[in-house]
Formats: sequence, C-alpha cells, structure tokens
Amino acid sequence: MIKAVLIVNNHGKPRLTKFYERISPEKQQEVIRASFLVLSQRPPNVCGFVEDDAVFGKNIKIVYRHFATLYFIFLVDKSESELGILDLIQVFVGTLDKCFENVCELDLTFNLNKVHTILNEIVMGGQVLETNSVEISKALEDINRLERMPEPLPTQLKGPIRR
Amino acid sequence: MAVSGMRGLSVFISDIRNCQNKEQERARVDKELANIRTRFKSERGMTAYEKKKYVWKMLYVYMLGYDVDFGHVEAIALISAQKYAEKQVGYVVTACLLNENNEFLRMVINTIRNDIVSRNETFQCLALTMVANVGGKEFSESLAGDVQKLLISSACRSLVRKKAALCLLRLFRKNPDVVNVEGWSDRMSQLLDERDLGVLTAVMSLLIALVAASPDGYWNCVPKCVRILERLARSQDIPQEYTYYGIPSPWLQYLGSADFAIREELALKAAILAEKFAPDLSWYVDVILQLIEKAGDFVSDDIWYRVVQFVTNNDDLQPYAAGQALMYIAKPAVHETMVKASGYLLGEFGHLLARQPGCSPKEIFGAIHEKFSTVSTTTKALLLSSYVKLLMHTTNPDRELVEQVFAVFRQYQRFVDAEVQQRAVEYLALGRRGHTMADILAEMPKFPERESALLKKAEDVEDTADMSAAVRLRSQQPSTAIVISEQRPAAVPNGGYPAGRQRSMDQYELNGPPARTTSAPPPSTGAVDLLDLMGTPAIEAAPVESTSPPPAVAPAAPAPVDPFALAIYEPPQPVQPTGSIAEWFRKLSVGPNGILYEDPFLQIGVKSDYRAHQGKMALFLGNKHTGPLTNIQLVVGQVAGLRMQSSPAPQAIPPRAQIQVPIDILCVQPPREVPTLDCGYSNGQQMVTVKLRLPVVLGKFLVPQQLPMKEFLPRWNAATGPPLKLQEVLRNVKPLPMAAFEELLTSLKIGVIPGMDPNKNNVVAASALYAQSGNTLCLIRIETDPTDRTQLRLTVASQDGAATSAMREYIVSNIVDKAREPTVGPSAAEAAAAAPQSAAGTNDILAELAGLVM
Repeated sequence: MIKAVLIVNNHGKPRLTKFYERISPEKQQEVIRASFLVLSQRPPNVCGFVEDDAVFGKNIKIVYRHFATLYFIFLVDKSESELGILDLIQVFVGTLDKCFENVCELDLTFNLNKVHTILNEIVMGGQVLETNSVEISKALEDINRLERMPEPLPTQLKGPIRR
Repeated sequence: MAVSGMRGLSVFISDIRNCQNKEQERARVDKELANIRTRFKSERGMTAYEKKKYVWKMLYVYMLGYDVDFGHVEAIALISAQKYAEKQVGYVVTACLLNENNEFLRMVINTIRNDIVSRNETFQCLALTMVANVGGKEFSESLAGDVQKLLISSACRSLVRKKAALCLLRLFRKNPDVVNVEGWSDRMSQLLDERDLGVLTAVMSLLIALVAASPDGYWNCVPKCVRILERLARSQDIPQEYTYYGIPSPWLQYLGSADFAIREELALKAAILAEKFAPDLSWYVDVILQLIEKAGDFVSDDIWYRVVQFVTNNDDLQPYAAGQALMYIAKPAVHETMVKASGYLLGEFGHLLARQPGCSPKEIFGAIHEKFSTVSTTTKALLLSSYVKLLMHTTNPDRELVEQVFAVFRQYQRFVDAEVQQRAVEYLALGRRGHTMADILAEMPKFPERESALLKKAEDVEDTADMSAAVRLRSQQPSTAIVISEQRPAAVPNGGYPAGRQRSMDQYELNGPPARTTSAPPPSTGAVDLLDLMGTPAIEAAPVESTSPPPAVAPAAPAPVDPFALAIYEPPQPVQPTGSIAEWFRKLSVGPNGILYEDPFLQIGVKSDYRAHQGKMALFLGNKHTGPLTNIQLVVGQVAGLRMQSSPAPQAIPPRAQIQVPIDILCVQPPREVPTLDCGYSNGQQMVTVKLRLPVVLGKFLVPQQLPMKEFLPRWNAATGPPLKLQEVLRNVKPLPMAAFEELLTSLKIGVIPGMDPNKNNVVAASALYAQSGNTLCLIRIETDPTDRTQLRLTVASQDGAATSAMREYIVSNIVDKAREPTVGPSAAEAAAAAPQSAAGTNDILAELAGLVM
C-alpha cells in the first residue's frame, strides 16, 4: 500500500502532501521533514529506494525521484514493488507534464488543486488506480471540461481595476 | 493548462513564497487565517467563489504545517454544493484535512451516498475517491453496499468501476464484515471476466486482500486468474500503455515467467546498474553472465564487450571469469550471445584453469565445440580464434587436442563465408609452425580506459528525450567500475611484444570483439599506427575528449593528444548569428515561443507563458556542435518594475544536447525597458559573448479590452493632463494603411474598439495593464493623417501616471521607424514634454464630443 505521496522542493518546502493513512498533522510534518533530510543528503548517483527503520518505522520504504528542483516521494509498504512505484512516479510526472506543458515547480505551487486532482486519478486510497497515461488524461479532460463550464473565460476585466 | 482562476489564492501563495524566513511566513499565514476566520463567521455569507478560494487557501496553509481545524466544517459543507467546481473542492480538501474519526463527516454521509447512487458519474467518482482516501468504519457500514452495487453494475463506465473496486478494498480493510464471502465470491469471479485492464488491476488488488482474509473462500476465482496471467504473459495481449519496460503490468505481482519479455533496453539498464553499483568485479561478471543467460536475445554486443574489457584489465578476475564462462557454456541450451562471451573468455583465459579438475584445454574445447554447429558464421569465426588461442596458450598441448582443432580448421578451409575461411586457413598455418608463433596469439593487451560504451549508449537513447539540465548532468557521472580499474595502471602483459604484430592479429579478428574494442592503440605504442587505421573500421566509441565532462576552463587550442592539431590550427573566425537578432526579438515580442538567438554552435529558443502580471519563460539552449559548449554564462539584467528570477545555468552543454533554464517573471510596476540577457559560452576554440534582449515587453502584461462608449468617455475625461494623460505628435512613423495599422496594434495586445471614433482615420483602443502594484485600464487614441502616413497624434490616458508613460513608450517604440528617425534633434520623449498639452487636451475632448453626438 502507498502510505503517502509527497512533493518537496530542494529547500524542503512541501509542494504536495497526501497521506493515505491516518496520522496526526504533527506526525505528517515530521515525516515530510525526515524524508527530505534523508533524501537531500543522498548523492545523485544512488538508487531511488531508501529504507530507514529508525526514521520511518519497519516495513516502510521510500521510493523517490529527483527532477530539477523537486523530489517526488512515495512512502510505501513492503508489498509494493520499487520498480512499479518508480514507474508510477514516471506516470505521475508525465501526466503533470502533459497538463502543464513542461511542468515546473511554480505550476505545482500555484495549482495545488490541479495536482491533487491528477494524483486522485492515479492513486486512490493508497492503491494504484491507473497507470495508463491515456486513461488518466481522458479522465482529467472530463474534469477540466466540467470545471470550465460554470465559469466562462474572462473576457472583461476582473479584479480590482482602478478606473 | 487552465489558470487556477483564483487571483486571491495566487497572490497569497506569492506572498508566502516571498517570505524571507519562517517568522514572516507565520505572520502572513496568521493574518490570512484570521481573515478566513472572520469571513467564515461573518453573517453576510460568502459567494461560492469566495468559499472555494478560502478552502484552497486552508489546504495550502495546512500543507505548510499550520493548524486549520476551525475550517473543517466549511470544507465539508462544500461537499453538499451542487456546482461541480465547489463539490470537487469540498471532496478533495476534506480527504486531505480530515481523518476517519472526524465527527463532522457524519454530517455528510447522506450527501455522499446520494452522490454515489446518483447517475452523475463525476459526482460518483469524487465521492468514491474521498471515501477511499478517508476510509473509516462509519463509511464502510453505511456505504459499502452501494459501492458494491456500483462495482458490479454493467451500466457504469470502467472509470467509475475501478474506483469502486479500490474504494471497496479500503472499506473492507477497515471492516472485513462488509463483504460476505458466500455471496461475493461468485461476483468476484464474474468481475475477472473484465477486459478493461484498469478495472482488472483494481479488482485484482481487491481480490488479493479478500483472499488474504479468507483463503478458502475464493477458489472459484483461480482458473480465471490463471487465464488472465496466461493472456498477459504468454500472449502479450496487453495495451502498450500498461507495460513497464515490456513487462506487462508490474502491478500484477511481477510475473516470474515474464523474463523472456525483457527488452534490450531493460537489459542495457540492468547492465549499467550492475556496473555502477558493483560491490566487486566478480559480482559484476556474475550478474552480466546471468543476464545473458536469462535474456540473451536482448543483450546487445556492447554489454558483453564490456565484460571482456573488465576481465582483460583485471588479472585477478581472469581465472574466475573463465571458470564461470565454462560453467555457462557447458549447459545444454545456451544462447548464442553466451557462446560468444564464454568462447571469447575461454580462448583468452581458459589456460588459467588448466590445473583445476575438468578444465583441461581438451575439455574446454569439447564444451565449446559442442555448440559450434548451432551458431552463426560470425560466432563461428570468433570461436576459431578461441580454438587457436586455447591451443597456443598451452605449453604442451595434448596431441589429440591438436588433431581435433586442426581437423576443424581443415574442415572450414573451404567454408562459404570468407571470414571464417580466412581464419581457418591462417590459423592452420600458424598452428603448424608450432610454439614459435605463440606471441602472436598471446592474450590481448589491456584496454585503454575510456568511457563505458554502455553509458554512452544509454545517453544516446536518452538524448531523444528532452531532459532537464539536472538530469543531464547526473547522467555524466563516471561509473565506479571505471574508477576501480583506473587504480590498476594499464600495462601490456608479458613485457610487451612488437606493436606491428599485435595489430596484424587484430586484423584477423574483424568480426570479433578485439577488433572493435582495441581500436585505440595500446598505451605502450604511443605513435599512430597506420595498420590500426586500416584494420579497424568499426570504431565503436567516440574519442573520450568529446564525451567526458569538460574541463572547467576550455583550452584555447584542441587537446594536445592530437599530433596534427598544431599544423592545422588557425585563429577562429568570429561567430556570427545565422539570422537577424532584431527580427527574432520582434517575433517573440508578439508571440509566446520562438528563436531568440542562433549561431553555428548555439541555439537559444524561448517558450513563455504569461498570466496577468506573472510570467514563466524557459530558455532552451541547444548545442548544435559536435563538442561540448563550456563556460556557459547567462546573466539576466534587472530593470525597474520587473522581477526576474532565473535558475543557474549549468556549466556546460554536452554535444547535441539541449538544456532548459527557467525564468520566473513578475511585473511589479509597469516596466519602461526590456531586460537584457548577457550570454556567453566557449566552443573549445574561442569564447563567444553576445548581448541579447529578452522579449519581456509591456505587451506581455496587457489584455486587450472592449469597452462600450458610455464607459470609455467618462474615464477618458477623468484623466485631465500629464502625467495621467499624455499626448504628442509622432513623426517618422512606419507608413501603414489603416487596416494594417490596426492589425499592428492588435498584435501589440492593444484592443482596437471599432466604430468608437466616427473618423475612420482615427483609432480608439483600450488595454488592461497588469502589475503587482495594481491593474490599470489604459485608453489610447491615435489620429492619423491621411495625407501623410508617416505622422500621427498619439494620446494615452489612464489613472496611473506610470502606466500611461509606460504604455506611451511601448507604442512609440513599436510604431516609429527607427531607421527614419533623424539622429540629431529632440527625441520622442522630449517632443512629448514640449507639446502644448493643455490646449491639445481641450480640443481633443471637443472633437470627441462632436463625434459622440453624431
């Protein structure tokens, strides 16, 4: 089972946190900090799997990938395959990339809602929901259409315009 | 990508990002939370849009680690909203903030159930996702039945059904009683007939959990599971999107029998991983030989060449490798790649095993020759070399062995393949001369150190993908294996033998690995060997200098290893751009993507995206050259009003590679100039520097506006004179017909309002200027002179002097023809200052009023 999905930037700032198991907000922050501490000290040429019983408890392993300014971190239990999760990260990032066209940290920061929506189409309740990027994109397109419907694109000025 | 659509949220996130330290962040968050609290409590109520915005803000704050308990109710309340966008926020945020024990959840169970049983698929999905993420006994008791119905309903789309499967799994984990084995096992069995792999994967996850809880209850599912496995693994009946390196759905517990499906790519990657992380070299040899055994079809020659290279360079490894090779080749069914690798290793090092039982040259020959008839001619040629080496490395060869080997050579003297034939004839002749020829057939010399051909190959594969700079840099890390062997100084064994003879041996083995892997001269023969050039057409790796990480300071002349370099060296010509920088800039000023700069070595492309006062730009630096570009320098000049943040550019760009440098842009105040980009690089011959302008023009922060006359005029009149309203007469304007002129304005993001001015030689336009300091509506009127198209009168008005003046400059710089402007005389700005503003202003308004009355 996937216990948590985190996106953390190079400075340790969380950009997405999603926990699939019940833990207190304080503990969540602890996990985010600990994961970042462990990963930020790893050299770039080592593998993307970490197990550290002292930090995360028994049975938990971290599978991660580091892209540019972001760590994509999956905390999973022993029943998950590391390579499978790596592929899942690839699917996740690939989908983000498709949605944001050359995704960068800013996209994720300012569009937290989108990122959550995308993740919800890939992982659900700690289980892999879909790995087919075509299916995921299809589901997201449906959602996009719905989101846009009630709010037509602004043709007139919005917000406080000094007039 | 749609804009998040919530300005307040973006501003808040920007504020947080700009905080210098944790205290500032906390202060900003506290302020926002206080605001949200007040708004939630306020009697006045909020619009749906506001609620949505505040709930997202809460999630963001929660992610940063602050307590937002007070807002849970609001998030939950949104679940009951009817509009999709609000409902979605409610569900997503609730799933993040609340845990299963939260008593508020009880309030919405009915709503959730209504959504699940509704006919609206998107609502069903939202509800299922939330229930699966939150879980909870309460949910499982009240909702499991409905979820089960969804899962088996034939009316639902697969999208809904796979979510239902995982949702049920989650509820089952919380409360196993929700599933009744007797009734449900038949259902599960039916579900396994599903053809949609997404649903099937989800159902399989559910089944595994169910079976784990009651192993005997689901026997009826076994035959179907076996059939699915067969379909996936044997028939490869699976859509491409579900494969991971050719292995179908690793999610289905990694199918042990799928080994044969491993593709070359996986084999290559495994080989590289093995090389990078090898604890010791014998382990590496083991892994690669195992890899060849299991997936021989997909192991390219490069992989086993690399093994040969290691073994040759590490004396300690040779007996071990030979022993392993013998073990593998002695197996009954051996892949041809294994025959090649083992045959070569045994030919070279087989004699080292002589003292071990069962490893006499005769026995080794027997083991190899058993496979001889089954392999291709290329491999046969290689094996002939192995035989003669095996023979010559043994001091007193067994008579019987000599006869056997010679018999093979004789047999192949008339073989149809010329290569095999030639080898057979020559080896026979060499063999007859006996031991005097042993030197020619001695072990191969050590290989000169070079970049792993495998890594290079992997990089070539990856070159096609557009990689970020960071990833690219990492892929250049040298492998540890190279480091290990570097510690052993490469020396020619056995005191060295004449280089010429050595070369001639290489020639014989055109198709074998030595010809390809020893293409560079051995370290002891420093001079250029002509035979080498002729005898080795297949040079597999590029010279090390072009692919290894470049030195920090590029040498002015080519690397000194090339003896001809000095003779042909000439001072390099200055590097010229391949097109017009100004024209590239102009195109980028009105479009989001394009070329900023290009010369024979470097191309800089730009992709940009602007939202209101914020923008993102990515510079794509492509190396067109065959060598690396080093000393990359990119300096973005700061201009007043714009905040530009760029990530540091990497030091070097590998050959034919592209790197990306993102730049974040924030328009704080209307900018009056365009930022510069100082760009420099070294191509190994010279340092090239060029000063460019980044196309961050005012137009990027403009949105054309269409206003009705009754809104336009009061605003126009409200700006009475400088600095809010500026007017001037421009000369030396590019002469354009009216339609083309209006088109130009439109391309500058200035919205021409047709029919506003009754005089068809006048243009009235409006545009909103976005800046962090505030958004300003700019109004523009241009009166052209039909008798002289090179002059016109421009009036710009807004409620902000800075915006007016920035807009004025923007328009002037785009419509005045620089080439026509006299070099001496008052500049446009001075002319503006000198213009009699007040008088012109009055006339103007009168003229307009007249127009309006008509």
